[in-house]
Amino acid sequence: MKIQLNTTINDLLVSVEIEQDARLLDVLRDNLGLLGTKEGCGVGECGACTVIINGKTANSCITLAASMEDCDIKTIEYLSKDGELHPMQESFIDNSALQCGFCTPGFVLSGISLLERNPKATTEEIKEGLSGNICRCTGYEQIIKAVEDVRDKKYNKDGASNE
Amino acid sequence: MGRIIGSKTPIDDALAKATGEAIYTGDMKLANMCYGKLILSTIAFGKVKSIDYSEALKIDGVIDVLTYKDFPSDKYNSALRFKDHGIIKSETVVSETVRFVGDRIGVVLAETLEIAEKALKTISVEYEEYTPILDEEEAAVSATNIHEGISNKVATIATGADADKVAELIKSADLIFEDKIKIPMVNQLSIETFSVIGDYRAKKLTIYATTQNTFAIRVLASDVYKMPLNKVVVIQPTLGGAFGGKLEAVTELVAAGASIKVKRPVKIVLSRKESMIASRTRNGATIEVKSGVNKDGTILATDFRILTNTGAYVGSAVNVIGAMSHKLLKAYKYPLRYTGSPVMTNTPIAGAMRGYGSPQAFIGMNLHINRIANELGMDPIEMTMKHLVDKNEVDLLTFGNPELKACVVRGQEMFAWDSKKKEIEEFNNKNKDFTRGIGFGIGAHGAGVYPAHQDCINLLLRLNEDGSFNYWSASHDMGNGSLTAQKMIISEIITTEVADIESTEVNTETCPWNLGDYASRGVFVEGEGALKLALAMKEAILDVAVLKHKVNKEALTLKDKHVYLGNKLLCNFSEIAMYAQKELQKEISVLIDHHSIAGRTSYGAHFAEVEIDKSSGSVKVLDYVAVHDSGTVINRMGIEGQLEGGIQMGLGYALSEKMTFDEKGYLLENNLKKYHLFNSTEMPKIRTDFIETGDNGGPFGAKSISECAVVPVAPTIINAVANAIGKHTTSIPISKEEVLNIINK
Amino acid sequence: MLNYFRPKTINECLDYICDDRVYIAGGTDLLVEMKNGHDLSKNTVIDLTHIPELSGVKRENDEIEIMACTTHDNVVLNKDINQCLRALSSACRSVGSPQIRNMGTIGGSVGTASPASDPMPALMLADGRVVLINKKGETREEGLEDFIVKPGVTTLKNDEMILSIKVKSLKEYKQSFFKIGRRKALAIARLNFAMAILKNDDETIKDIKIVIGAALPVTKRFYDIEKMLVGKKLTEDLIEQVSKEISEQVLAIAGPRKSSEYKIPVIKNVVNSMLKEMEV
Repeated sequence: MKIQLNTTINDLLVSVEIEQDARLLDVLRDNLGLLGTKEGCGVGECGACTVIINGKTANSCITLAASMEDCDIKTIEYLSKDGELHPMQESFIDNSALQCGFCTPGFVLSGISLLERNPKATTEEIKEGLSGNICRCTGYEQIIKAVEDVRDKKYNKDGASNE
Repeated sequence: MGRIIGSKTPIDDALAKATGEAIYTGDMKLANMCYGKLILSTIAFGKVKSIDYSEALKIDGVIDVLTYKDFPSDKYNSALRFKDHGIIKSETVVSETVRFVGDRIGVVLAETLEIAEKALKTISVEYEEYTPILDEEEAAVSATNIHEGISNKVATIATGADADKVAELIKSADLIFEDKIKIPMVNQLSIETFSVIGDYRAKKLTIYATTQNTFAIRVLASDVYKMPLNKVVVIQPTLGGAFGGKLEAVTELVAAGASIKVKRPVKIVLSRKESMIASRTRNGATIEVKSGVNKDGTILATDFRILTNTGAYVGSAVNVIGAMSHKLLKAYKYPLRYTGSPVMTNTPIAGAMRGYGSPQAFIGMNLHINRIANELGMDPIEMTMKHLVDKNEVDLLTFGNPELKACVVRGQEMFAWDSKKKEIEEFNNKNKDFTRGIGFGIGAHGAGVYPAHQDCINLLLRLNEDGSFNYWSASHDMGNGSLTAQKMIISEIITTEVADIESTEVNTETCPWNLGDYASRGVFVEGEGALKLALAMKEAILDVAVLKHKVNKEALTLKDKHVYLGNKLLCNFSEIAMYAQKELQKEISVLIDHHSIAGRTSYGAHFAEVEIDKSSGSVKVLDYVAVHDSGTVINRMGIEGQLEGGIQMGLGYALSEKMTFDEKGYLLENNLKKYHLFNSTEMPKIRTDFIETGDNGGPFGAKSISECAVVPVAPTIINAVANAIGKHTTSIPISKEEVLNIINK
Repeated sequence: MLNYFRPKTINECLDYICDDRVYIAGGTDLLVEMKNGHDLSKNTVIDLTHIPELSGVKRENDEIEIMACTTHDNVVLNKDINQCLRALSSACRSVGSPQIRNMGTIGGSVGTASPASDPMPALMLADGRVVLINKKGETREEGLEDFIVKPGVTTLKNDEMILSIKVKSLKEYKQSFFKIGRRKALAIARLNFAMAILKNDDETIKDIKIVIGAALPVTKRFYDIEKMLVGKKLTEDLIEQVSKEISEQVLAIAGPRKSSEYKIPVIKNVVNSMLKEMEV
């Protein structure tokens, strides 16, 4: 059975007809064309489907879309919607903190989220904050470095490197 | 180090990936597209008696259900690499006889994926069941053949030192050491699962696929569906990791055949579980290794025997065993005899995975030598070093110039092996609850596939009117940065930046021919091609400059995207392109062909420190050093990322990843809750370095990194664990249960 | 799903309760079950995540009430729990990943009755009681040990839902939570432990609480041993004796099974080292 979902996605009020049992991931990808959110495992382990719901990261592959009524959802597309990159994206690019890129949107959002919560996160705290995201390519070193660089304010608000 | 060569350069498509704008196969939608869901066998061995899909057809939105009757029965080998590649054909697009849990029986087609999933649940399959054979040792001697007319033990490759001589030497030694090591299958587990769209229209077939082997998929589709090669197009959109798993045809021919049948684009996306059971794995293996050793630590000879578990179909069986056969011989210089046989079992099909046989072989040798050293009271590094190949004393053509010993020496120094040994002894004497250990391992892997078979690529580069370039390379970048490295090589020669060169996706219709991307060809072969291409482009630019400026070619140089006559600036690249178009009425584009004259060998030496919680057996990796001889480093950022990623994969191989089966052949670790990949908190700090002094004949002297990176990891860790608990172990992966078991014994 | 309801108040929620009801408190388990083929087409799904009064932590003197839909992360961030029940803060911090901690809830964790639940040992440590409300609006309380019957089974009646979990403050106690899980420890077996200890001025034990999870089908508190320890000093011999006794008790209940081979010696070791740490 279909129902109407009214919610806010990337600052836009969205009203979309969805299946009752649809996952948020599928609604984002199939109904709204927000393809940056990926499915890697479907069971909430790999974090490729990470989005930010009401200010906190969540796995959209195990989130019931119907449950998202009146929520504030942000996806990777939110970050550069005005044409400029978020410092975390700049840092991921400069540090080559990505290879195949499939897990990258999830890592970028987790990186932002962990620093918002703990701007002075230590390396260990950064690792913990990224522990819900799996990367099979990089061995995490360059990802951790990318988050550290943002923490160390190597990027100003415009996203340009201060170095 | 050149202007660009050796620098830290981010991967060329980083922007698209960091913004989520990169389009992967699974993101694509074509007009009028429908969705397929595979019907996979739920038994490990048997024959389909009947498939009842009458209920499925009643569901609104179901288009059709296709089974073996709807697909060609022509056999093929999914590991095919080029037209008429003479490897044993044992597969069909879908099968009536099923040989593992996950074997393809058919496909449900529906308007949406959800409907297809719903319909799949209503389909019932009746089987005639046979007893599955799950272990390679059992299958090798079983009277039951998994494939009629093909022995389970598909082939035997024996090479290296003479068998009689090795037997004699072993007999003559002071001591004889024997080890038996069982290694389970593991999964490549790229985070992107397998996806494909087959699109047949107007007698032309286009396949968009998660593949690292487009031209081979083209041949397979052409062979199976009897179409001319120019009517089959295979396209590789952005690839979300592959690690060898996407080398072979998995779902491509199903989507192609289904599209031919229903005349609509058909998309199939495998779930994680389907990707784990129904794609490819790394071969499991049983290794028996026997050496004759003198008391001074000299190994007189080694008899190395391996049975690989190659799964339910022939596929890459012989290729992996063949590639493995000479790797040990390229690392060890004393008499070593290798005998290897791939064995088919009723388990998922094994194929290519990063290292292609080398990880298993080097697990065997490193664990074996480590044990011999321990029992003789020698340092494992000292013992190993006595037997490694020397620089300048090998066949430079096939080996390259090995800097393996230099890697060991440099790594030993970085890791502070000798002082760490003492520190650990002190720590272990003082600490009751924890014990620490250090381990060491070496590895080797090739660069390029020649002389196993042809290894060539054609490349095309165009200078645009504004001075930018387009690059057509059928190099299947899977996130490993091979295209970035190629663009760096081109940039070094024609004095551009990487961003000035735009590459296309791999498309068999628009790109010149290439082999698939395996055997770490991306830099050594394709990069060398790129170098040739750049030199040809430089010549072409200079030729036009000569005509334009009426000057002598010899005095011309390129700098910062301009042509100079001595120190005098003549023109920029845009002016060259415009002059060519207007005055010469031609485009400046160059097409080159390049073939590898030899595969080179890359080397690595790894060092690890582990800490074991004696109360629970938990293993924590504290420190890790890896030093590689990859020849000249092209992209320092890329090579570090590749090596660190290889180490993460190897740590999983040593400590957590495995594919095991119950007695009926069901995969026990069939999702990411059960199949554990190392996350960020489990990673040690990694230190890497590269020995660049070998002169190796690749572009600027470069060889390869990607596969070699993973080879030494697992044995390094297992050796460190053995050192920590003071007992020899060959358990892979070694679980905390096993560690505790050994401690308590 | 036949019916999906997303009430905004507890009262509204009670209206929807029926025999085939399934609750969503965070959804982390339910969606995985759906992915694995669990068919909800004949169920009534009641989504509890939009009921503000079902979320949050209340403290009244020595009693803390954690509303059912409080996420693990909000437990971690809660000051009262940090002050009074640090073992629970640690337990919730060790749940899954940041994403799962942001989604999963205390009520969900208790309601699914998973033997591997991380918060459970810490909740039992604090004499946790489940507060249940039925369709008529009547509430009842039940101790967690009675509420959890076996893996996946509780005494929750069809017309009931979990309102909250009440725990006692252990502010004066020294507390500890320890977990061996798949992550970090790199293997299959999971175990978790929670302990709290309160001492008299003369270093003898005034009160002690010991709970072990994931070793048995249900999380177990060792009351007899706790009682035996009161008034005594934790000497090395006593610690050895206690850890041996606990591991033997687990073995006696679990019986000789494959997983016990690993778990029994580990339980002995970990109890031993945790008690020693408590003593320091």
